[in-house]
Amino acid sequence: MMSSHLLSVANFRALNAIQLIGVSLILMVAFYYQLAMSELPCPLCLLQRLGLMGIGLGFLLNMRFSPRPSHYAVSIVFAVLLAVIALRQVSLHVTGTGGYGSTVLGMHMYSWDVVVALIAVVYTALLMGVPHQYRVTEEDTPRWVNGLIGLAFVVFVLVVGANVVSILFECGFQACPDNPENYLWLK
Amino acid sequence: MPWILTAMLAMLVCVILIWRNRQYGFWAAYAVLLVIVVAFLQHATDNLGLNL
Repeated sequence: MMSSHLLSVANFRALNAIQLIGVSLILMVAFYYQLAMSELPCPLCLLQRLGLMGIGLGFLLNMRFSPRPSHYAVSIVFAVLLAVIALRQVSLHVTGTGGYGSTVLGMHMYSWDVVVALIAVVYTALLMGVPHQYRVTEEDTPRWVNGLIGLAFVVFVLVVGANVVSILFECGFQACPDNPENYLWLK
Repeated sequence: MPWILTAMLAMLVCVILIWRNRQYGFWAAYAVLLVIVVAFLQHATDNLGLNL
């Protein structure tokens, strides 16, 4: 049976796919600044990227299987970790050191990460409270939802894979420098 | 130990694991969280000059 109800489980899986694509887009913006503007990410920046990816893991679990509170919990825990890491970097630069990297819409990327983390916590907690998505159903998943889920997975795995390659080029098999200026493997 | 590289590799493995198996993937996500916390603490303590 195909369900077209707005609050169907399939629609919630599609919503999680869209959220995962959103996380991937944020990571792509960071990549744009790294590649187009030659701003190499610092260790804390890389840890914040990992925090963002962690938020995506919860959405990935919901999207691939079915929505569960335990999956949303993964996103919330990673969002809290992202906030802690981003606040650590904000605290390093907030008093007159000029900040790290260029600004996006007037704020540094680590400041935006604090905002993103707080929004992610509140949004995920609210979404978690919608009971319709936890029903056990025999509904068939529409083809467009399966397509969207496949697309979101491919985009996300490519972004994570690109970050692995980027770290290898930037730091090699050593600890990343605090203020990187060149790619270690491209010197 | 390059903890950030380790964490990023663990993240990639976790994403693939989630795609293949719900249960292992779910717990792998928390294992990745642990590696990121270690990487963060290592970075933070290095900069504070603490030996933990």
